[in-house]
Amino acid sequence: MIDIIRSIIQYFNYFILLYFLAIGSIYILLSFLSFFNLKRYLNNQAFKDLKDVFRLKKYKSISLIIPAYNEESGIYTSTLALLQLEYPEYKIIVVNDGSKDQTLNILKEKFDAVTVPYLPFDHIPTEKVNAVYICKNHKNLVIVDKQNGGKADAINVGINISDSDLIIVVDADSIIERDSLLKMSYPFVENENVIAVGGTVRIANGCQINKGYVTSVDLPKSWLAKFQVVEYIRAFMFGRNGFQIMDGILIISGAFSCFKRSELIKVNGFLKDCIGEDMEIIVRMHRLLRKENPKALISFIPDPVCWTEAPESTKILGRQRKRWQKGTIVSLMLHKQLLFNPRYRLLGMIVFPYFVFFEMFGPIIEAIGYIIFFISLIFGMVSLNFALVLFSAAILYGVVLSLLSVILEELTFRKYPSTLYLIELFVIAVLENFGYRQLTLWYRFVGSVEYFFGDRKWGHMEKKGFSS
Amino acid sequence: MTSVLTIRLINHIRNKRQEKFISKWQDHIFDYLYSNLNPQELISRIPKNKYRYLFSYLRTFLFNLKGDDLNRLKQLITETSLREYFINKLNKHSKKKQVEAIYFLRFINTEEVVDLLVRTLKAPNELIFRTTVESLAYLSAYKNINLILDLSKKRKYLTKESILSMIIKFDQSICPILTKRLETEKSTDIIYIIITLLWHFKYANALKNILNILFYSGDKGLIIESIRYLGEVENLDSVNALRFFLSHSKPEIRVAAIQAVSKIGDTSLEENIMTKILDPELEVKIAAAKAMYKFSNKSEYKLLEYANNPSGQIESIIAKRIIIEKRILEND
Repeated sequence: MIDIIRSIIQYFNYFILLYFLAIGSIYILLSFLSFFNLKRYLNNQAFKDLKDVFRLKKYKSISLIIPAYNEESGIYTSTLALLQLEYPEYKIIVVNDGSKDQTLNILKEKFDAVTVPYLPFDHIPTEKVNAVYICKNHKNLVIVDKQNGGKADAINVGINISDSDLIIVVDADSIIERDSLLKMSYPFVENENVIAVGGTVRIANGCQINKGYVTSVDLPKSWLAKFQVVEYIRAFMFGRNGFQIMDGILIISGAFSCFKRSELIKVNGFLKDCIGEDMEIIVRMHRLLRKENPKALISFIPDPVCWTEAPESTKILGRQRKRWQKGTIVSLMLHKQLLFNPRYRLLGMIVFPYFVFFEMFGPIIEAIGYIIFFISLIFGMVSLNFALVLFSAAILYGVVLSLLSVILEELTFRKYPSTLYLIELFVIAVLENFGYRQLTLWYRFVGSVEYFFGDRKWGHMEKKGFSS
Repeated sequence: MTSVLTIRLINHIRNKRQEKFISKWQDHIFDYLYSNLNPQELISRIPKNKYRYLFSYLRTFLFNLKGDDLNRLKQLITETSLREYFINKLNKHSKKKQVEAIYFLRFINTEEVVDLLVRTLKAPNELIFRTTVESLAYLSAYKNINLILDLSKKRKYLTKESILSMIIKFDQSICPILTKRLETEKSTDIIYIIITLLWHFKYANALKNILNILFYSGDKGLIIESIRYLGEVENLDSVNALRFFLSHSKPEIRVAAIQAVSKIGDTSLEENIMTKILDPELEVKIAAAKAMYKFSNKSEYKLLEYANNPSGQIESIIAKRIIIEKRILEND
């Protein structure tokens, strides 16, 4: 019996080794794909004048939807900053999702709001709208007050109210680059098959922020936030960039994303009460809209367009990661028809299976793998050589990838101008593999277990807010 | 880490060299702009290994300068050895260098350069094709528009919108050729592109061809684009056509027709517009209410009547909303 257990454990260890080698190799491949994609993107940008779109009046009108729930501390500053973006025709729709604090009153008072009759467009069913306001001092600002129904429902109200070509969903606490609307809308101007576009999100902790804009890019003081800086660079530089080449973007950050309004209506908007509605809508758009138009494309802008606050305590980080993990599982389970479905080409045959195996089941496999590996090491079931190989596959691959992402950042956008910061980023890229990665793995593992064993709650994330 | 620090060091050195170049040559270039100095004299004084910095500097000014200053700056490319330099660069293997050459060749308006660029159009690379089309547009080489459209059709990576965003950089000289092409063109995408361009340039002479498409095409996109064109051309034929499409079965087409009528402002269609507020579709009602505002005294009065109607009917809600919105906008 003991022999059987021993051989099962040994085979499992080999499986884990293969798993680490596979995921590492996939990331290395993605890094190469990303490099070429970025090079092509930057070459294209070099001789392109984005403002030509204004001159030729070929721009698409945009509605920025800001779902707001209990955002009294920052809603005025963030709305004011959004009102100063560079774009000829855009509207801001702040949707107060039944806040219990002063969010609505602050907006009404500061922006001199006037009630207007609500035009009952019901493209997407939503909770009841209480009132719609337009603002005397900012003609392109619309405030909507509705009954609480969650973030997805608030966005859907915004979609119903908007009459623009494009919809951009922005978190109330996101910090947007001044030319981000132009960059995000450009893919739609160039290609009618583009149905959604995501941009690169960076960590704002530590940066200097003035009147709602990042004025100086610095690294955060907290180590937890520092690790997330490298993690975000890696995720956006490799993951999204690489998958874009395979036409397989499955996630667009909920902090800042752009959609063709007509297509959002076709898929009936965001899914209410869904954990991770930002990923779910993208997977659903792939599934439904590609049936209708096989050329339908979800694109990605490697330019950093949005800055967001990263959690600086393990408690909040844990909640965030568990929520993300549950969101990934929900999105993949709801659209499992995509798995190995040749109709969706590389998305169905490679990207979706990758997400199922490495993102959905990955944390469970890795966590069990770590536990069994240490047990077998303690009981002498594995040789030292095998332990070293496994360690290299699990940790050193991670170090190499983190370092590669920092190199790629330096080759492309160079957002961290200080050389000291660059050296610090390198140190962080190495250190994050010893503790931080395992910590986030643990949260994702717990998230998976909670999902499969009943607790599918959203989980609230507290934010400190930025000081201007 | 060493490699990244090396990259950073190289970039740092490049930036410093660029700054040094500007501090050394900026005054010379400005002196040249406002003097009779021979352009070749200035170019021959700049070492060839500094061209990279010169081009990056020139690009900023070529974008921003206008009139005589721009022409004088262009002479640095057109009347100097840089001209040959760029022509030779067209044959380089590096796509980046080719694109740079194509970009700067747009400032040399000679038959030779146009011919060279037309030959470059056949290159399969998307960026080269796009930059070449834009350079030809800058040179007003409008006679090549048919070739550009034919080649665009063959390139699968180009979509309707991407072709449009390149060709829109030409001026209205392309309109007669495009109008003629409408008579024979079979591709719906190309017809759509042509109508959009004719609308963009407000080219009235294509009216007959557009009306032909409007009545004989079953494609919704083409019909809407044609109606949008009619909104720019006030003519009895276009008014009659719009009258017909105000009652089309598809709401998107009715909305487009209302918007076109509102643009033309032809009061003979006043009654037709006013009845559209009673249309079963909400977006058609809203478009009609927007059109009624300031269309004519009669229509505005009717809109006010709807707004003051206490019945709470949808037409009354729409009318109230439109009036408040428009008045706030007007107080801007």
